[in-house]
Amino acid sequence: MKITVQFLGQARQLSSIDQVTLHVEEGASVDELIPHLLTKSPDGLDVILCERSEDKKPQLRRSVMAIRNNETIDPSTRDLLKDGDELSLLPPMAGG
Amino acid sequence: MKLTDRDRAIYEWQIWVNDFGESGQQKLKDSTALVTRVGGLGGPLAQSLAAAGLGKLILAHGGNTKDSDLNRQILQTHEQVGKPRIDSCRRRLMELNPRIDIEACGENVTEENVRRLVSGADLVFDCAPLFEERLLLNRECVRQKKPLVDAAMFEMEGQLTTIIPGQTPCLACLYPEIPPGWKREFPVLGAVSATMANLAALEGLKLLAGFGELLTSKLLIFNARSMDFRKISIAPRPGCPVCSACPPCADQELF
Repeated sequence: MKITVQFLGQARQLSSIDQVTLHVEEGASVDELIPHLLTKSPDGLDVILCERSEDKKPQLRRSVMAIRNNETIDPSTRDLLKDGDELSLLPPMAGG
Repeated sequence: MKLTDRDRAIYEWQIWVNDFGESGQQKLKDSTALVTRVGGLGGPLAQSLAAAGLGKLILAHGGNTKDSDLNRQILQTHEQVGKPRIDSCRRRLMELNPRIDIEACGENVTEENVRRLVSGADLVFDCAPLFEERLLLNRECVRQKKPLVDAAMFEMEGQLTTIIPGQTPCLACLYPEIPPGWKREFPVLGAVSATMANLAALEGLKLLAGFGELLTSKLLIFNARSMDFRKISIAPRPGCPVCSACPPCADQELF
């Protein structure tokens, strides 16, 4: 399925791009998108967006919001993303 | 304290606002808000609260004014550089509205002062740049069941939500860890922080006066490059160590 991943906040600044398009297997979770994403994006994004699970697989940092159709979704759950979806990744921001 | 005729004259234009009126103004006069860090976000926010006639503002911000504050910390002046920020905040807010009460604390939120600062307020605004402070304030607001308006920005984007303990996700639901790679200093245009500040002020004024819809269980995302506003649903994180044990606030009148 085709998923357009949109970068927000710090991810947008680090990547210098607004979005990338990924082609992944049907039913993939957000976490399962992450290895594909890393091959298409600058190194700095790794620290902001990714952490390693207990089995060392890269997954979305739990402080980064995964937003599909104006709702946050659980990054570890499969079958939430559908072909043609736009997924926004929103790292934390603060005051100052 | 009851509204006076002078109050009615000063706040006339907002008393004309539907659903706000004199009763809304009276509620503002009877209210106290805490603003933690009164910088690029907290400064314009405190300015709007002061102009609107809140009864009392508690301001908490440590340190001296720096050159690099001046693009967005509109309560600071060039003459204030090298001197305590909080003095300029108090002085300029009192010039704007001498009818309000201001308690100025020259410290940032810490484990030592957070309980006292939060306990004196009806509503809390989180405007700090560091997640250690933000999550500490969130924890205390949940503990004391105080509503928390949480505003943030980065570069040309901003976000805003209103946290009602027992009813909405808390900040630790959104950020279960101190985000790695986050730095206290980051890119932002002053007009972006002031936009988020005034949106946060609106949330607080509506909450205190009891009208309009709030960003409860919603996150407003603003993109100043494209001028897009987006509102997304957010949910409590199952097992959140901060708020999952917080029971619904049956005795809470605020929404």
